[in-house]
Amino acid sequence: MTDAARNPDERELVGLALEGDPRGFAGLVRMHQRRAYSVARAIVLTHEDAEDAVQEGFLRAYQALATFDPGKPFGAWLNRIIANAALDLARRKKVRNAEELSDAMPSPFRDPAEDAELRARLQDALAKLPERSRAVIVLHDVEGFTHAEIGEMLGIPGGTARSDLHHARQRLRGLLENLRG
Amino acid sequence: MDDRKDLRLTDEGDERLVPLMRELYAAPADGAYWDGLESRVMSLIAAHRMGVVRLQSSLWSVLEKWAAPGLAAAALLFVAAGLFLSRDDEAELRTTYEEVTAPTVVDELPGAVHVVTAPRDGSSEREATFRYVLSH
Repeated sequence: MTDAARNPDERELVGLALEGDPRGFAGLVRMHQRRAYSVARAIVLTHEDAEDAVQEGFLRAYQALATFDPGKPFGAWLNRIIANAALDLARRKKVRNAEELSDAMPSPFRDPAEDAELRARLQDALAKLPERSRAVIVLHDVEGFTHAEIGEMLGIPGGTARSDLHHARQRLRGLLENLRG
Repeated sequence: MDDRKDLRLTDEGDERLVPLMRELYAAPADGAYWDGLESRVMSLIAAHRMGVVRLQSSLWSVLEKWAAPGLAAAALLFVAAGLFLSRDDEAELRTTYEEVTAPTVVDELPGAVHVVTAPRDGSSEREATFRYVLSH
């Protein structure tokens, strides 16, 4: 079932947006922004970067709206644009974010709360993964996207997304082992 | 320490890790946040329509797109400048050479026989000049 079929108003909103009516695109933003945020957040390291990627992604989508095929699901098309915006942003800010995170994260030995310690170690390990590896793990294990959907978002075949997930988990496992040691 | 051993991902997922990741990656729950985000997106689009604002990343992507052609143009310019300088040097050399080899007014004495030594097979212009100078 396509997004358009699931959301009977979506096609209408796309039509309005294509006609240049701002209410059309505003409706699409309202409808898809939470999912867009989840996609962006899976790729970048911070909430603020996810926000920036969402805004940039929506702007790119608006600019490219004339190329969108109204017969296809808007959500999948948008998610790919959002993922690209997030990947671009993550690459630009990779070093800076890593420095900020390592400064901001509490040391496991300073935080007595076990959950906080585990969370910090997990966050550290996730931050050390390449963007694509982190994205496939979070998109699959946290957001529940299928391999095919993840592949579509990241511009890779579904089979590659599956094998990426396997390797990403191995790598995360290794990082957690190192942190544990 | 057993808890730490639980902090592992298996291909089937991890009972302890996945909830932690969900917590780390949780989207804001406050409805007002989403209203605000929608407003910011629409403001950005309105500003873009009026040509008031461009995203920082757009500037980066424009620069990235221009980087390769810019380098190519610089390389072409460098090669062109090299060729120009090389030709300039050659022209200067030729001018100097012609100044040396050209007959002067003093050489043109009345009744003097102007001997022109044609280059023979395989001989260079420089050798011909040398012979001309020797013959005077």
